[in-house]
Amino acid sequence: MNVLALSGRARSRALKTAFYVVLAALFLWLTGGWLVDRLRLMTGTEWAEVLSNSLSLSSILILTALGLAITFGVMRVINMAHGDMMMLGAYTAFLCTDRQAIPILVRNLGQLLHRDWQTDFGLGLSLYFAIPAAFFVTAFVGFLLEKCLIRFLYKRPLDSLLATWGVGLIIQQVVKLGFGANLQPMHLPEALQGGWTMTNTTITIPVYRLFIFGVTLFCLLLVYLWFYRTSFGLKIRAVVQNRPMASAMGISTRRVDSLTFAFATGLAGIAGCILAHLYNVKYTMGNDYIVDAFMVVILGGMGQLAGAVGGGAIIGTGNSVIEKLLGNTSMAKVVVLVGVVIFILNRPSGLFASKERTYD
Amino acid sequence: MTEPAVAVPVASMNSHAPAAPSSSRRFTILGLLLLVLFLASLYVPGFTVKSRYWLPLFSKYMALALFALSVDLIWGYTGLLSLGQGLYFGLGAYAVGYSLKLQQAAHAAGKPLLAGPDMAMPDFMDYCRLPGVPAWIAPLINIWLALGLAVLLPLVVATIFGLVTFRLRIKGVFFALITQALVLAVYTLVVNQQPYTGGVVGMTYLAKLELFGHKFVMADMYFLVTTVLVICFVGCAILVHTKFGKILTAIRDNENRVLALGYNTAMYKTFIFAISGALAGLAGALFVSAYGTTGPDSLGIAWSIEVVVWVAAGGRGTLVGAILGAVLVGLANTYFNDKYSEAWPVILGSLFIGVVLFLPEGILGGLRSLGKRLLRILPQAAPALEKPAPTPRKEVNSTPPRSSSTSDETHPEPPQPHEVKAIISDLKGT
Repeated sequence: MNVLALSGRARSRALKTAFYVVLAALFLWLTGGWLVDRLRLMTGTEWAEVLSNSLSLSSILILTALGLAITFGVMRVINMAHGDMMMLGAYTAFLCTDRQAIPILVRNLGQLLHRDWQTDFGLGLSLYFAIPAAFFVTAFVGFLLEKCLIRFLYKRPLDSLLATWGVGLIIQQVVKLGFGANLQPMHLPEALQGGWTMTNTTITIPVYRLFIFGVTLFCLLLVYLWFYRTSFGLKIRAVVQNRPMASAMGISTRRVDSLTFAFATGLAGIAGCILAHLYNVKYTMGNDYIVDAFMVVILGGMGQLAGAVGGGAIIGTGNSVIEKLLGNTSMAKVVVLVGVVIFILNRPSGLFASKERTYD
Repeated sequence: MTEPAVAVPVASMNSHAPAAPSSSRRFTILGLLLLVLFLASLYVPGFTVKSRYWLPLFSKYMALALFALSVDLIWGYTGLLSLGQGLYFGLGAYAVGYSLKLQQAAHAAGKPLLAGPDMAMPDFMDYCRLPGVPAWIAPLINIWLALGLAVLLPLVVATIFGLVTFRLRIKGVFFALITQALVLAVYTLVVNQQPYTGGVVGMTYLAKLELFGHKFVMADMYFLVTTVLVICFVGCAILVHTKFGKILTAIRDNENRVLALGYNTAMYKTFIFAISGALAGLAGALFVSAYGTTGPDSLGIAWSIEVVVWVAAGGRGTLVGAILGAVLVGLANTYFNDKYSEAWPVILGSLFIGVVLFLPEGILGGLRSLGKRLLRILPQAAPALEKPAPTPRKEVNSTPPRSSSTSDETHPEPPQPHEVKAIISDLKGT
């Protein structure tokens, strides 16, 4: 193919592709077959580990990013407190499942007011109850947030970014005052402990990771049905497409906005609840996921729910594979973030770009 | 999603354009006088504050004011919200941090301040059992090289990053989030590479800054930082009042019109982004020399967003506002961290929300609208300042009216046909 004979746009694209191919070849050459060897020598157990890690990480990213894809991609508001909504969901689960949670909360509140408050009362509910509880609690907080703050900030995405960052700071501090700054361990139900061994192999995947995957699939199905098969979903899509016209048709856009926002934050609550049982609960846990979740949404393409799924799967899997190859979580994160930024710079509309031409 | 970045009226300092030339001159002279007074007042703490606790803090605020100035240039004037300014600040901070740390190690070991195979190891490298000072860090022991790199490195990085992003016309929210992702990547890298960067702790117990054989401590340090700040302030003030600055403001208000007029906006944006990066690097360098430690927090996400809110609190789009905001929030931070450390995040969070909701123009903008209201109530008190209030013009394409200078230049003409069309479509829209 004679590159110079091509027209301007095709030529620049060909040159760009060639540049990246050369870059990749150079990288492989510099690492000197180490990468290939590393991949070839990976055992079945290691592959199973990568698989289970990527399953759970992708699921959590997808759940988080799904909420963001709704608020950011569809409603065009940037909710930097989304990660803290995850954290709220995690603490709701902590309150529901751990008998020590309420005594800790009461004691800390008492300390704050210089009183000596004690209680032995604690809820010991199971995870199956905690997940819906986390959803409803965070959805309610999201509803309040929309009513009190976000609704003044539609069409001002950068301002919404700053204001919700402030909300996140406040929520984190309040939770820190209530529950203390310590890590809180969580307990899994009996049925979800242990591993599931693939028949005829030595490959074992923890049952809980499969459970996470199942919950994510269930939520995806729910969102799909809600968006495309209910009259409320129809209203949401109408409001997104043409707000004044939808309003003229008698749809209460205010109500649609607040309920959609509440639902989106509720999804973050579920993600947080799941994440809490995977690791521990801490008041800063949302910070680790918020930037990744935004990257997922941008990588997937704005305004596309499928984009959140694709983006989440790619970033989650990429993260786990690179982590295994490098043996270092932080470096994997660095590589993935830089990779995603380079990809977005090359294709700003994301993977599943919605076909529209807008005058900005 | 590409909303024009900030759709709030932004009034710039000294840019009143009243109709009568005599009152215009009076305004300018008054404004200049106030400005000189303000800049002079920045030096006051250097003379009055004697406390060994407060004086370094004031030096720190001045360095942070320079950082806020850099954010104001790109956000307040050009409308680009970068959440990655901490990257450039951190580059400057670490460049000078390495230098001062190497110097401190050399002082402790009684060795000369020269790069070489047998130079003294800083403590954090020693803990991590590095065989020797890495070759890319060693030359930084020369403070002039470090200071040069602290400005040049951010300049180069910002230029490259700006060229790529702005030519692709990435702006608004995407720009903010991408810069944030990059700063997170660099933060994670720095925390992870403990042998080379000191990890989470960073570098502590740094040597004092020594230039021309003179050690800068306490008041000297304060005067040095403040002088650099004032020089940069004057430079920025000149920059934003030239034609170049007007084009930057125009890009903020409506980039497509500027593009249609034939300006290469990407180049303008890259240029100001690079300048802003260099200023942030300089601010980082000064911060480290004044404060005596550097850590990865100086290139964290939180830090980069916080500086934005200093600018917003002071008044975005006004250089004085950036300095004012940085100093006031810094003072509040120190005060509350002393007395009620648990309350500070809540106060800071409320500041974020309050500024966005109630004071979009910051303290300066609030003061100005308060002053205008007072003038309206007491028209006799200051007849010279009174102007006929121009009728608010229906903006084309429903862009909200932006700076006070444009609304002052309204002509009482009948609306043009295309404006009528725009008004009609606007009415349809609502």
